[in-house]
Amino acid sequence: MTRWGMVIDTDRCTGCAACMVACHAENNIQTVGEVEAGKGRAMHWIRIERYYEGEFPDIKVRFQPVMCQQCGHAPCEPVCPVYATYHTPEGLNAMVYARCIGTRYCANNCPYTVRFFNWFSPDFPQPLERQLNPDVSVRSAGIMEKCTFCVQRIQGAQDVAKDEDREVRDGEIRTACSQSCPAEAIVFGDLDDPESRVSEFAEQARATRLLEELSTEPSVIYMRGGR
Amino acid sequence: MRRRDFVKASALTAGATVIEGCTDEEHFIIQQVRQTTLPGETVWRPGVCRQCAAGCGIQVRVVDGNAKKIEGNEAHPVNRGGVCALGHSLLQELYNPDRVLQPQRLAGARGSGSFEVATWDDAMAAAVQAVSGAAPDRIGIVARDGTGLTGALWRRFASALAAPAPTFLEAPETEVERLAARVALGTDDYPHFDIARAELVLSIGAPFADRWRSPVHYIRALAEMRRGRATRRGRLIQAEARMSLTAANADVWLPIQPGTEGVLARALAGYLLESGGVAAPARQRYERLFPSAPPTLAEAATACDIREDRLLEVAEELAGAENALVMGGGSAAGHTNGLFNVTAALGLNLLLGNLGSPGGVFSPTRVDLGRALSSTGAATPASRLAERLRDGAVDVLIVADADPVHTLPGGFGIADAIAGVETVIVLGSSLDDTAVHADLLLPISTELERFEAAEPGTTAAVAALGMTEPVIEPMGESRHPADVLIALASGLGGGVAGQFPWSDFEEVAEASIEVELARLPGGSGADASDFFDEALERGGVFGEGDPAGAPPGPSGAGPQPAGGRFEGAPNDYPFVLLPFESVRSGTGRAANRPWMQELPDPLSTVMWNCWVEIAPADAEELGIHDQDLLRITSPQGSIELHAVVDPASRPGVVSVPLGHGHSGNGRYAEGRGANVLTLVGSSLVDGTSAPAWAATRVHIERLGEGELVRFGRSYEDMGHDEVIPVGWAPHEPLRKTNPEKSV
Repeated sequence: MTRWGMVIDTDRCTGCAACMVACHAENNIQTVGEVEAGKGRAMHWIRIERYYEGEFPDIKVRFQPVMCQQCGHAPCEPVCPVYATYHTPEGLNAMVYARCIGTRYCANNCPYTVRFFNWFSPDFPQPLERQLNPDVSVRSAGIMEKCTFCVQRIQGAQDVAKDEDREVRDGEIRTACSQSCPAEAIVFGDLDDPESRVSEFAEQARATRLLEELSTEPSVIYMRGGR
Repeated sequence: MRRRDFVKASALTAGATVIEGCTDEEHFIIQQVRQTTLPGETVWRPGVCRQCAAGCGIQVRVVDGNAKKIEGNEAHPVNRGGVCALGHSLLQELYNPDRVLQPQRLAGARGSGSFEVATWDDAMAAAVQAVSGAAPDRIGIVARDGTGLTGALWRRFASALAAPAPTFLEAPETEVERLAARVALGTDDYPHFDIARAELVLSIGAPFADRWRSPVHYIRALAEMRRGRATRRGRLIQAEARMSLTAANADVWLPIQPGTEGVLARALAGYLLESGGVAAPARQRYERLFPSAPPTLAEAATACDIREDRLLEVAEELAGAENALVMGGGSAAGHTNGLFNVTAALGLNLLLGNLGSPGGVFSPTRVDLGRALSSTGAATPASRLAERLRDGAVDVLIVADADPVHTLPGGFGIADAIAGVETVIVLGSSLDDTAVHADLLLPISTELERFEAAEPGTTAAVAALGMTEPVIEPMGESRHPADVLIALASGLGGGVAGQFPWSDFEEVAEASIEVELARLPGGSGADASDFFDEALERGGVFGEGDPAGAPPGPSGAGPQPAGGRFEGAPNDYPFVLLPFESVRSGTGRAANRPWMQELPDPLSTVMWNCWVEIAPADAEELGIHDQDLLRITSPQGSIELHAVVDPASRPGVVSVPLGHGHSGNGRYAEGRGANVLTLVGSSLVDGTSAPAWAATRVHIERLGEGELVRFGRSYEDMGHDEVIPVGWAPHEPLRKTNPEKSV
């Protein structure tokens, strides 16, 4: 069985934010403008969290990219009254946009605050809409959205593999954030494949997950250590 | 398939049904055309990113003739598959709703921004008339960068006209860094630093994980240095007055007093010399560069305002490391004593014995494809051009893909002086701060819509030349800037036209490849046409293997040690101002792109605006709270900005990101923040013609409360849960703190 997972090496990550723009470009994420952003409505499926440690002059900074953790026991799933968010057999917390009625229960229940609500329909003034990715739905007002682990890329690679009568190879699927990362800090793959790079990382002593005590069983693994 | 073939085949397919007996080649081409234009199918085409001088290789996803996504070209030695935030946002330059897509002619008062649409024929006729009517010595040319073929073409044009050499708007510290490398290491350009294989990197001022020189290349190297080897993890020490993104990623940050970077480097050299680990030839070479006795660590500690024990730790680590290297540049190069600072930093490599060895410093590798087009490397410094403009010595100003009004210091007076120029011709794609002063605005294509041949501004391990065909058809009536130049030269006729015998830029590139073939990687003995086609398919001409070539060493004595001077007396202007490039705004080119406006700065987390970073102690003394509106005044001028009380700011230093405060430039950019360069005077870095952009003092006054849009929380609102106590166990999961809820 496949269980998609991601490893983020925070010792490689420099916080350059290339992943954030890559994600916007790949997933047709709208920008909301200054006023709405000021109300906390900016939609960054992946964000860079910044932490300070110590005080000047002995102050250090740590960066941590955070996106939907694709939890194994996802708090967002059971609260959806219309089953718009559900667990796929491959371990993704999928969103069925057509089912979503915008109760926002899922976002309230997410301890990682990675779900974003479309307060307005997106505006892509001509000719900006020519950039939109044809493989990804543009979400309208009233719909909840979040990181999908670039499910369109997963499906694309699975289609190719099926046509060629083979399994998807490790490293063949790269999410937009992972592909863009100048530091190669983000690795994507199958956590159920013991040979995969993500599995290799997951077994190392540096591996950790966010808010483990909540037993959400996140599929995103962070590699700690370093500075 | 080449673009020319494509055009030919497109014509053929139109009449294919009536053509009997197509040759195999034609048939093949027709099939290719059909294959590449299937509706809904993805095609990946190689391109070159020209958003900064790094010149990364990219792959562009094209569906139905539209560019959808940019990824890195893994074959390109500069970026090896990575792309930065700015590179991704190139798509929003291409499809910008405010992009200028037709030639524009001034239709009101100069500077009013009022234009009317013109035809290309009329616009070019007007341009030819203006240039031919002006005395050659009263023509000014400003172009974006001087590297590669485009720079060579502008040089050739100026020389054919007998006009002063063009001004290239490279990053201001680039000239200082280049000169320092020449003096300290004897290289003709900034060298290659083998960061990935180093054990310790000391960077004095060089913000190489920010937007400096070649960000993707350096970030990758830094990550490899740390986690690319199973055996050991490399370390980074950053000496820089501001907590840049690089300093934020350092293992040790030395928040040095601005302008004393050279003293630090010299004191470290003194420690290395005394420690006895330096071989005699290395010592001799260093002493040729700096014959005088270096300061002690204690003296440096006082001058640099860093505890002596911390300096000693750094000195010991440097002396004990197997493969250590020292970089210099950035704000250290932007002080009046920038040349001394960077020369002293780079000179440390002589003592570390790392020239030409793994994890050390290597000679730059340049293709320099344009050398056959223009043998001179001549350029008019921006400061000299500004002088000419102020003196009324320019009648016709040609500005190509550059925004000198926005990107040069306010002290240069370009914004006012440009009003006195008779005719301003701008080749651009937006109504930016310079283009609003234009008489003629000629729309140019982006790098995705044109044949591109670009050399990396900063050398990678091996030689590289990005070269690609247009990825998509040009939008509107936009044209290749080099094609506009060729047309202008042809229109001028006579000797000038004779110097430009090509029909377009692609022909220039093909001819240059043919001339330089034997010198190019893999070119020796190759067929020029095949070589050219293969390069286009690959995305360029790339060398292979490990870096080679040790820098020859110092070319003579270095600049005299000197302290930094600042415009403004400390009593009247108590704070040192450090402008910087944020990953979200760069130098302002991306200001009208919504992705970049809504991208939070990684440190301040500010979106959609500009800000000034001030230390908590200074803020408290002045009664300033986060987000307050402040007036920042320098001897040169004053601007209003919102405060970010920043726990990592050095007291006495305030920092402001570049690239904001556009007077026009489109719906997303207009009227946001202020341009920090308006505060910067006309001082130059000693011994160079580069502006000293980090040599200004300012006064700060609180105007009242304000509002700043942030993605995260301010320092004042954080409490303690976002400030992790020192001694945090590396394997303990980080407590995640929630930014503002989205619901």
